[in-house]
Amino acid sequence: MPLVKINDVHKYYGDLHVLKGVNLSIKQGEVICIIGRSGSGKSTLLRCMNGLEDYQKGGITVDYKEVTTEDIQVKALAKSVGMIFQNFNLFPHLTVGQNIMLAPTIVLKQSTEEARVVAKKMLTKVGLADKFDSYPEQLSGGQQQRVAIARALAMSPKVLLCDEITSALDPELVGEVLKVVEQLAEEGITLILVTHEMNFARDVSDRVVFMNQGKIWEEGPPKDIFEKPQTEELKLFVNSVL
Amino acid sequence: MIEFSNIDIIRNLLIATQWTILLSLAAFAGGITVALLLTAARLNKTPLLSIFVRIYVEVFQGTPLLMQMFLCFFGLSMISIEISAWNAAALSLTLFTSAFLVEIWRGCIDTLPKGQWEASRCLGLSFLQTLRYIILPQAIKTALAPSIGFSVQVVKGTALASVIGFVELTKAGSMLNNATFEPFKVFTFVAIIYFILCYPLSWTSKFLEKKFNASR
Amino acid sequence: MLNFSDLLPYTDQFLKGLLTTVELTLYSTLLGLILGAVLATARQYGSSLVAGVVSVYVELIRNTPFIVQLFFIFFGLPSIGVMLSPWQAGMIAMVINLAAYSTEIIRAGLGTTPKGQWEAAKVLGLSFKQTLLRVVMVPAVEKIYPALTSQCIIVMLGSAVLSQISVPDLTYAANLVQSRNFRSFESYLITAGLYLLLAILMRKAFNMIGRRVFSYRVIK
Repeated sequence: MPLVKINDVHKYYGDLHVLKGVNLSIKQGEVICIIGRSGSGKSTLLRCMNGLEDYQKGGITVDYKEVTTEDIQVKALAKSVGMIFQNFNLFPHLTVGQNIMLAPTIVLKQSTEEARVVAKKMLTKVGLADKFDSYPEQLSGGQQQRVAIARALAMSPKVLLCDEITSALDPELVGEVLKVVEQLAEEGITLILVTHEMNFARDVSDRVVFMNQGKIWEEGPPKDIFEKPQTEELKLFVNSVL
Repeated sequence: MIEFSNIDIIRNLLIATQWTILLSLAAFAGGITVALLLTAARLNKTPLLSIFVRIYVEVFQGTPLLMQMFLCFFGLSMISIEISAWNAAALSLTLFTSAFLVEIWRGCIDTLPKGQWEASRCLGLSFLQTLRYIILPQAIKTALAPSIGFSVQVVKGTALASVIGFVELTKAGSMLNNATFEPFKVFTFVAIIYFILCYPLSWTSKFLEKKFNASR
Repeated sequence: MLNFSDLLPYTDQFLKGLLTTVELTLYSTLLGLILGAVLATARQYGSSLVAGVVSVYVELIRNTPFIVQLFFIFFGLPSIGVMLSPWQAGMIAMVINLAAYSTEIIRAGLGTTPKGQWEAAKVLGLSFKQTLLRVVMVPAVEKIYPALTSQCIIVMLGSAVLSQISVPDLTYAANLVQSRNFRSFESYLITAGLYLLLAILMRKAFNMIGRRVFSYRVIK
């Protein structure tokens, strides 16, 4: 059974039909990039995968768990699914270390010592071991996003959802974040990224999903998607971004 | 007729001031407690509860405190609870204070980015854990200055308890006025005492606000 | 049990009281806001002496109860030869109260004016007064309009205390009625309802005026 299974998902905002029957299966260890114009429903789809948004029809299972917006389900999911946001969403009143240790201690009930060891390990992994006692606002955007990645990793998720994680960064800071993500991909964690970084999508992902008008328009290996687009819409999109 | 010297007047006023302070503290403590409950009710996503809180705020902010005091005083005595002026004043000031505090805090909580709630949810924190570890620690910082600022309104509000016969600073002033026929002097003293009570609170509120704005 | 029918014979009293409250509110709001705008300007742009005097006034009013200010004006001032009717005393108390609060509020609005607005007006040759009235004041007031609205409503509600010096306002009517028919709770409940209605209408009126005055804003 695939790690993530999305089956005919429909979502409405009032009268607006934003997801029109999305089907997608993702295996353990895959790296998936979702691309498409803004308004194509790609971020919405991502947010449906961990219960931040609800959907009206169809079903999503992640790691054998049904995804709903019920608090109890979201809590259970948090142990399998991590999420990185466009605006980092670090907690400004907590130090970097406290940001990372909070959920492991109060959700996973780890001891403070245990959580500290994990937090230090994750910070080292993202190259910020020396920032343990800094506050988020003392860090650059790229550093903050790397802390957010460490915070998600500390929950040892099976899937990491990345929602346009470099869009809010100054261009010169994008590289350091993508390098960390690339390294995670090599380590074999399942990654689902909504992204505008086409070079990244082409070089790192196993599969690229092109969304258009609330549907999956085309999917396949990055080579096929970027070099042999089948539909007019994807051709236009690829030409406009490359 | 008894002669009152200035010292007598001031001594009597200061004795009554103790009741003003006590009533203010009771109202503020009560108001904070009720406001906390209302805030939790509002944030919990039950529509009925948040509508109730909205009406509560509208009613207590949209009617005179004096009316609220009268209604507490006569209302409680109607449902045959023996009611003292102290109880009626403390109750009505508590309700009044909570309605304003819940609104002040709403502003502080709602200006926090939505991402704080979302990130907490993604990390598996429950509603109460999110409130306790993420939302309140940040909201308290912004709420402190306006809450202390509002405490000035509470202290001043206690003056209305004089109308339902509770002997605090203003009532004592009226009584001394009737005994001395020196309204100018008596009410000047009364005003000075209120100023001494309120100004430090106003000042602290302003100071904290500046400090907070500077730290951003 | 509640019994509202005993109130019906006193409809006239309630209406007269309501009218007095509306009248007092209307005048005091107008005068208070104008005085507030003038004092806010003096505080923000005046010499340090003028600004100091204004801020002493503001702090004195803001840190003492309205009822004490009222008693001071009505009972205290005659002893130094200033005789005032209850209506006059109440009116003055409301005006100086609203003026003090609106000074603070409007000043905060003036403080948000971008420096470029003054500079642009200056290079166009506008005088201080012209810049203030034609360029700076409206956007400044717009920024703090909700706070100003709330403050005017608070002063209207505070006027209930005027009944204590026998101004025949809405609360005075309620006191009178309940002393005759002993339906205290019902009288005050109806009165509270009328105040609530006034508060809601006042907010509506302010919003309507605001939409006209600040119509240069593109409505999103």
